[in-house]
Amino acid sequence: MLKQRRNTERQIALFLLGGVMLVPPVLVLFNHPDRVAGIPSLYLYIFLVWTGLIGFTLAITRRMRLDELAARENRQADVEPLAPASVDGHADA
Amino acid sequence: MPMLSSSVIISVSFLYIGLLFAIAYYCDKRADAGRSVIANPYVYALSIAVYCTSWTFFGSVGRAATTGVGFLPIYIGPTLTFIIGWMVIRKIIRISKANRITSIADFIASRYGNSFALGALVSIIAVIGIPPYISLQLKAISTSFSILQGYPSIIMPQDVNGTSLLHDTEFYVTLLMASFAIVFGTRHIDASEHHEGMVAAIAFESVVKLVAFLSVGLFVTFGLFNGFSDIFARAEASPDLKRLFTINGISGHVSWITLTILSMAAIVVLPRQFQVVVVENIDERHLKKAMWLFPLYLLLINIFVLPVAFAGLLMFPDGSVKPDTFVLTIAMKDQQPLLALLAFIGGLSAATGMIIMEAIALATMVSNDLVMPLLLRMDWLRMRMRDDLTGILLAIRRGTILLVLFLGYLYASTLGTSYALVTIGLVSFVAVLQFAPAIIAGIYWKGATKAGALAGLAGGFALWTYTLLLPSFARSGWLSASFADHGPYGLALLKPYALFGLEGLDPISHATIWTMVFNVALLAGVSLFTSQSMLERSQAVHFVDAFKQSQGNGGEWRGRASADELWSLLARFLGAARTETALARFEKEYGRTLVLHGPADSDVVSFVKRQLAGVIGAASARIMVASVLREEMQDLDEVTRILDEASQLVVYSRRLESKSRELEAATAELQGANVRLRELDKLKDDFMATVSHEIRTPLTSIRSFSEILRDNPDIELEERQEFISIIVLESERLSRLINDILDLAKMEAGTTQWVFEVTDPKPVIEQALAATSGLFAKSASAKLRTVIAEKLEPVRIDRDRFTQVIVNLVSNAVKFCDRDHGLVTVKAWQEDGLIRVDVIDNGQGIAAQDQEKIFERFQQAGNTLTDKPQGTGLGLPICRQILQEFGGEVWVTSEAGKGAVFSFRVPIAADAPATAEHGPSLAQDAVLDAI
Repeated sequence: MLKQRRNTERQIALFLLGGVMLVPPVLVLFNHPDRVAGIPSLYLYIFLVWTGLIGFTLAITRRMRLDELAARENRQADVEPLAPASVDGHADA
Repeated sequence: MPMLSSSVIISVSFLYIGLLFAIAYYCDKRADAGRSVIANPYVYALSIAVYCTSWTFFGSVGRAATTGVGFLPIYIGPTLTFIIGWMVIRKIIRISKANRITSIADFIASRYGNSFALGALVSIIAVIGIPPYISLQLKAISTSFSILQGYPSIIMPQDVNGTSLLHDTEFYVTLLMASFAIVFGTRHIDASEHHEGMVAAIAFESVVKLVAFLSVGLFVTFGLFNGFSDIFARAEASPDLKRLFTINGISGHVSWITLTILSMAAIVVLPRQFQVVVVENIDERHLKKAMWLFPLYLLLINIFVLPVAFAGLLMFPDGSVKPDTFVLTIAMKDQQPLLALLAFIGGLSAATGMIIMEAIALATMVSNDLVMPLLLRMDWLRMRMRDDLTGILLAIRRGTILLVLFLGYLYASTLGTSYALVTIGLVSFVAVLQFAPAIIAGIYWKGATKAGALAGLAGGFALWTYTLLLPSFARSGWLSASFADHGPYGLALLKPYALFGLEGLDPISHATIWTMVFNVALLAGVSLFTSQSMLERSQAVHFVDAFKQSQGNGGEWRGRASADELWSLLARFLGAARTETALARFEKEYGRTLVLHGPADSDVVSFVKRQLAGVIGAASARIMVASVLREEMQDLDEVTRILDEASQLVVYSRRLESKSRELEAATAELQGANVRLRELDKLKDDFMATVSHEIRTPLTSIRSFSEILRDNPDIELEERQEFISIIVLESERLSRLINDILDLAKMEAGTTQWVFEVTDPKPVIEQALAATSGLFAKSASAKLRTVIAEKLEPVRIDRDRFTQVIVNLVSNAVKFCDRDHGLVTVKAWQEDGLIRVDVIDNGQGIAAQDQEKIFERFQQAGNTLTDKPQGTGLGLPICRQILQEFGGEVWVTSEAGKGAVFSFRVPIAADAPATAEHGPSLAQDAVLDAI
């Protein structure tokens, strides 16, 4: 339950982060015609942030699945929950 | 080299559509056999990509060529929505599955108390708002077809009305799409079943369009140019193109924000998106993968948009080729017929997917939420009587598919030419955006009311019509152009593109801002000042607490609440005493002691649930127990409110019941009173009639004899005397009658003067009998026999009245005794503290039915109207009145033909010593001869 809530909180945080980063005024910081690595800075920035958002979403859903599996195992075995470290190992939001 | 004749293009197109048919057919068959092809998250994510239409496929490049990154918010919005998809979209899915929701109209209607008005309004908005979007797809197919068949030369189709080839293509595509949607979209009757074949075909189309676009993008970026930086470097050289590297001006930023918001909502509220994301969802866990897979799809299909746009602008610097067609024309220009064909097929797949899905979603919506409810409401159609409505339902859906597609066709062939692809699509986006506030408020705010939702939707839709639809009519010449440019009647404040002076924005941003301002303000404002019905509130709780409700099953609650909490919940409804009893019963039933501080096990939970169900009903009990198990007291408030309202209703209905019972009783009483009154009224009438009759009889004879005397002066003296004696006799009778009437009336009114004295009744009786001796003297045969006990205790009576009773009874007896051997017997004796007097005659007796009647006024045994009356008919009623006054009674016992016995009795005076003497002593007999 606690872990579920934590994952939900991570999703909301990621949503807010994406909302802030991909919308003016933060967007304006990258709104100049220079090219970085041959690509206009605004384009590069947007696509990088976008990719990042997808990556983090993937990570969170992966964690959700693992947490669920762990919870199911716990229920079946009826033992103490595993230490959080044992299901970690993914990038945290 | 004419490699791409129109016949080749058409054959390939038909092959492609045929392939779609085959996939859909195969998957439907598999689904029927129970082996679903689409039951996996990848197909689900790909089907959601129906979001990317020809508008994405061709239009993004077009928009990129004019605004740079301006096309991206349309894809960033959905990405953001999907990040929180597990909360928001899953909630909508969960609610929809629980309520068997079949469309977005259904969802909104259901949330606000199954409101027909709301469902109908949403359907209407969708049917008006979506055809432009469909027309866009038709236009894209016809345009790309027209360009492609010109290969190798690149000729832009003329943008004028009446280009027959364009319209013909659009028409045939419309027909083809309609048949596809009808065949695979209206196969099932129950819309909440999944259109597996459709979804599979849509997912396949998503793969095709992605592959096609990536092929074009890779070819352009790495085939025609040397990678991304090469294209951008060349573009940088041109100031016009370099301008596109950035977002320009305030309006560019505002547009960015509004488009992001628009698309965030559109990914769920577009009818076809709702269909694939929510209705066609098989397993909500699929959403977990779709949360990153679908945004990834969007990212991939957009990576090459900017390179292709710049390549197109660099390759066709003169502007002869429209940017909307770059995906196709670049391949054509480089003499790549296969790639061009692939690009065409990609565009075709993007367009057909959207058309099919949108048509089905709209058909479901229109049939379920607009037409069917209307038909069912028309009582004269007697639809409710029909056993099988499936035929009608299917006909409506098929009709709607045709209607919607032809509306799109109509829009494309008349209005569509005036807009760029992207703008047309956005008009539809803003229309469906109107659904978003009602949905978001619906699943997160319990206070949102039906009136609020209706007001918000209607207000938003009205502004959409004013700021987007009407100006588009004006641009096409249906309305005067000055309406769009200067406002109606030249009112600048009402200019549809600069409403209330909001200038400097593009029409879409402008419309988005105003519609949302009005929609949200009306929704919130009206909701705050209106109240919800029972059903609305329960639906609101159901929707807002969707997650909480369905988690309560199974073993999830184990150990979460203590038994103590459950018992205190029970005590709230049962009271302490009954809860104590219930506790004892539990321990007896389960044969164990309850540990109140321990966690509640399933026995306790189900026991408490059962107890509660007895009080508040099973459904409420389940909610109550579930709410305690989850320890969420704020929900309890909500539940309590519902229960309060329910119990209030129960109280009201009980009150109503008792009121109606009272009313019934009162009515019965009144009816009784009415009957009694009518009886009395009849009695009065009868009395008047009898009195007049009784008085008229003597009067008539008096009058007639008087007239004889007057008219015949020479009448014999003897005769004259006889007549006069009759007159005297009748006058006496008349005065006696009147005396009697007065007497009785006085007695009944209680104004008679009574002279009571305690006296020995014997001398009174004897005196009375003496007074009647005259009667016997007159009678021919009647004799009187008296049997009077020697000693009678004194009674409290009025002597005169007592005498009157005896005289009345004896004179009656004389009248009715045997004509030839008349015998009247008077007996008097003492019994049980009473003096009893019987007056016995040996006449015809009185029939049983007359025995009570004769004590009523003017009632005599026999028929008074035909027989000659033998008395006033008031004697017995007067006797009864007198005896009542004495505290005694009078009655008659008789058998027909054996004479009658009139008996009365009077109580012995209280202060007199009672002597026990029973029955008359026959030794005291005294027979008086009446002659």
